[in-house]
Amino acid sequence: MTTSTPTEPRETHRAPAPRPASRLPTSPAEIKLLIASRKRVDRVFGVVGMLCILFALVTLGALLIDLAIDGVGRLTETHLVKPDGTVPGRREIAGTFIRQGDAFVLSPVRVRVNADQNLSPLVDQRLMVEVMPAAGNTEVDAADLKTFRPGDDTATATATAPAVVAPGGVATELGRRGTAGTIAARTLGGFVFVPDPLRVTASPDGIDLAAFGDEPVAVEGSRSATEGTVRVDEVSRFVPKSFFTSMPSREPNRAGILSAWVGTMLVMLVTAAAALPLGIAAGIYLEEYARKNKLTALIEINIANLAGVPSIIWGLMALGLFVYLFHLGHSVATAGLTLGLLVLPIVIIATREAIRSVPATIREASIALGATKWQTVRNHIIPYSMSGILTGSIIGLSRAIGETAPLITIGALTYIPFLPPPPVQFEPELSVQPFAWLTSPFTVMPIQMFNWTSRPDPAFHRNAAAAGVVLVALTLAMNAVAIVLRYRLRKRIKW
Amino acid sequence: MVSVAAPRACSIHQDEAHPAADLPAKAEIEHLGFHYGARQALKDINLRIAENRVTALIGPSGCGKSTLLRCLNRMHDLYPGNRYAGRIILHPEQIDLIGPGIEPMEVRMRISMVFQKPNPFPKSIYENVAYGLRIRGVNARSVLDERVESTLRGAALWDEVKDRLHDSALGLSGGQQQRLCIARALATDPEMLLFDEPTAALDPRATRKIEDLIGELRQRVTILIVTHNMQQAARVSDFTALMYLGELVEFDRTATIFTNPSKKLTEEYVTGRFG
Repeated sequence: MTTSTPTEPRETHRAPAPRPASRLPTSPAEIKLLIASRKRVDRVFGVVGMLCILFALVTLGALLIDLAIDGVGRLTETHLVKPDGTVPGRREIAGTFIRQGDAFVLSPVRVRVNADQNLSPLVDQRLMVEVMPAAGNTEVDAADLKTFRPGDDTATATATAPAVVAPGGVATELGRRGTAGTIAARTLGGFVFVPDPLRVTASPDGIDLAAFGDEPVAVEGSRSATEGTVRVDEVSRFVPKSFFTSMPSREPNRAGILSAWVGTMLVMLVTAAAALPLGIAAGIYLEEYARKNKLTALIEINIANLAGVPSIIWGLMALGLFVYLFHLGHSVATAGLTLGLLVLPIVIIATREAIRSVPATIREASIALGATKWQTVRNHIIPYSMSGILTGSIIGLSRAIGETAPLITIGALTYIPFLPPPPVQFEPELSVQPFAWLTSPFTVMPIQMFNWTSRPDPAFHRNAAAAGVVLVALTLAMNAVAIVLRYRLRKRIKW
Repeated sequence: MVSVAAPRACSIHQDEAHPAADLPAKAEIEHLGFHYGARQALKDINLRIAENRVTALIGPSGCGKSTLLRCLNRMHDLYPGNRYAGRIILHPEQIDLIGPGIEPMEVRMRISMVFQKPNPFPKSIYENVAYGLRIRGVNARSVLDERVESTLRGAALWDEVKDRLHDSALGLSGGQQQRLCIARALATDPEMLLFDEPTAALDPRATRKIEDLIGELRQRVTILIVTHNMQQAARVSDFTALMYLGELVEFDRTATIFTNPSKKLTEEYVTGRFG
């Protein structure tokens, strides 16, 4: 840096005269100005970059938070469902009845609720048994609330208010909310045993008890006596269903994603089975074995283009090919093959990139020892590039999970309240049908969400948000697996 | 065993007896030419490689010594667009290594190479050495154990790694890795070993160890070593060939090349006036 002549005064408080653009800066002040302006550009660029990142994060965060606010609550709700012929639980309703004139009085009603062994460990199990006073009946003791915790065998709640049954067909339903002497059991997210409502019908002959659904239950003791005891063995229990274990339904509180996420899992299985072996083998062939000429260059361009084809076009192609030509129908197999083809270019490209990252020195070392091409590929290239291959495959699969358009095109239905048949079924009789699930109709989570958002009832939109939360969590989990796999596989390999 | 192709019209040596004529030859390079695509890298090389001796190839950068080395184990076949010309006769079977009917893999099974930058596989030390045997179908544990030990002893590495045979080879130092690569190349009993500037990336102590190793190995294996370090050639080799711009300038016993070369170019190079 040249210094100015000693006679020049140091004018640090005044900016130097602007220099013409055709001349390089010479004086220290000019150089300082130039450096400051270049640094400023750097700083501005840094700030702009930071702003962009912040904007992206804020948008992403807003999306996720909005989804979560709507949906997370729904994920933990349960409702009670009367199952169809599953393992019976037991409960006793014991009470005495006294005839008072023409009326019968049933009291006290004691309900014993048995705990079953297989309470879900995932939820907070608390059974609250409440006794609700009847309208108009003021002789009700304080409601006896019992909290039932894991480890407790029984919870007993005693209703001290008598249930009055008048003759002539007035029915009082035990177990229904709001009626004297009734027991209402509620879950706070656990398995619950709720006594089935009993309908008590009084007639001059005595009382009749009928279980919910009008099935008569056995009554011990004489029905027509003045007093006696009633003991009933109940044969069913309510099972709480959560969002994940319920089928779709017309009622938003009962609708769940069971068929949707099972469908997603099965379709992903078929997709992986179709895309991964084929894609990895194609990638290895194209990278290692194929000669580099115009044809292979054309193939490479085509594969890169196919990765960007709109997914609905894949759906159209699959409709013509799998549904109509191969007669596979609107089934899990079709969906899996369609998504497999969609994901195939991604897997091929990821495989090629991973193989290219294996250094040529390793390859040369293996070849120089007299190994064949396949020995080199099998012993070195594939193991060292496996982390990249798996990462790319998982990313491809996590894209396929969210693809809706091709599945709608091949005719995935939106209301599927059943599961594909399992390969081995034990009841009603043993049947082995290993591939029946492939040809069964199905639904997947994005389609279920689409179905719910197109309904006017806003409660369904809440369901859709909850399903969205599950989908996002699934995608994040898959990507996390990809990252962990890549880290662990790469740790062993250092070039 | 003098080969069928008698030493004829090397443009370099006219009437004096070919150096190394008194020793049996392992390989004879006759009028070798090589093209990288359109560019000619080697022109009419004639060289006689003596059996169980160390022959060094020296020369300034870009003279084609590595190219020549890689012709011997057909490494150029890996990349498209390369063409060989001439013959490389391997004794005693008299096969032309770059002939049309010869499978490159067969050549490489008999001629091994050690590269400039140590490139052990990211596997265990044991697996590195055993790899050559495994790809030849030898998988019996006892055989592999014995071969691995004898090879590592032969490469002067056994004492340093005998208690960590199954650790990753990448945990070794640079010099140890290079000796491992030499052991890996030796495990299959090659007839010829090619060294492509093996100590270029190593410190002087490691270099010394490897040069000592080469000195021991020469009794069992024919060695061809490319080096840009003239002093290394002087220390290690029996015969030296100087190359320049793709041509063989002079080939003679090492002592002669360094003390009494015939060509002016040789003298200028070995005295350091260019290069």
